[in-house]
Amino acid sequence: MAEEKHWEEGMKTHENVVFSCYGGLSNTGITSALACLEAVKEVGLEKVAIGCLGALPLGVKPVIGKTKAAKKVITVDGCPFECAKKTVEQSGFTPTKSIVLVRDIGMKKKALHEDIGEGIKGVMEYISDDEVKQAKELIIKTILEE
Amino acid sequence: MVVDKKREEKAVIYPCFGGSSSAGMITALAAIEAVKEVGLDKASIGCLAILPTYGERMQPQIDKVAKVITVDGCPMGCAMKTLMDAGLKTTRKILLTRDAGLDNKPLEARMERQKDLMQHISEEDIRRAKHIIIKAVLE
Repeated sequence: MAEEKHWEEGMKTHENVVFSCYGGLSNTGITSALACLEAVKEVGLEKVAIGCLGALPLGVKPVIGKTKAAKKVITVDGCPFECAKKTVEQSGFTPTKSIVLVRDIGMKKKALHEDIGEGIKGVMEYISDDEVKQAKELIIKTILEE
Repeated sequence: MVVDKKREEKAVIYPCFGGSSSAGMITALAAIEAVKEVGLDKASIGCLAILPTYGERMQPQIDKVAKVITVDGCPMGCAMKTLMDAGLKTTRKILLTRDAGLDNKPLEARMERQKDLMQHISEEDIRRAKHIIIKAVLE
């Protein structure tokens, strides 16, 4: 199918960009992704989009350009490894705000492989709706605050 | 190590989660739907973002996993290239624009017409992508 033209400098873009670690091997990483998704749903695409974190170390030009053009660059990490923050920094950007869910909303990290063979549950049973909501609210507050 | 033993029969899925396009968003949503369906004992979503920083540290663990599947939305192939740059094996490379026939919609080009993210994401595309991922996990 046809692809639209890649973004170039001078073209419109999202006002802010949020980078989620989406570290799917733990509850905290999955919560970061779901909370970012919910935040974008709530505030709308003109205000914020989820950035392509995987593209930053590869120097993909439209992604680098859209990140440069953003008023705020927000990283959302689940755990203290802070992979999203480190990736953004190593690509030459300074996050306006770094959110770490274990620190900022008091989440407890659970590595999901630990229960294999010992009554492992469905993936969403390790995810708390309340924690997704808390994380979403913190992300939205960070986007909207002056 | 007990932890490594538990990983041996699994598939690890690396979606690009390129959230500024519809296809990138669908990689993330389809990957989680696939894991919901097959269960965490069969598959999980890997931490792509850890690889550029700690790739060497992850290598012994990833090498023990039965299947390593990358899921990219667009031909930039960022998930696939990230694993390659980290020196990790990939058993299956899924590209949604090619393998599921998805249209890659840059969201900034469409946000004025429709600012609601989910208006750009098709349930049918998520379902199609999920099936391709599940097939790759189980085959």
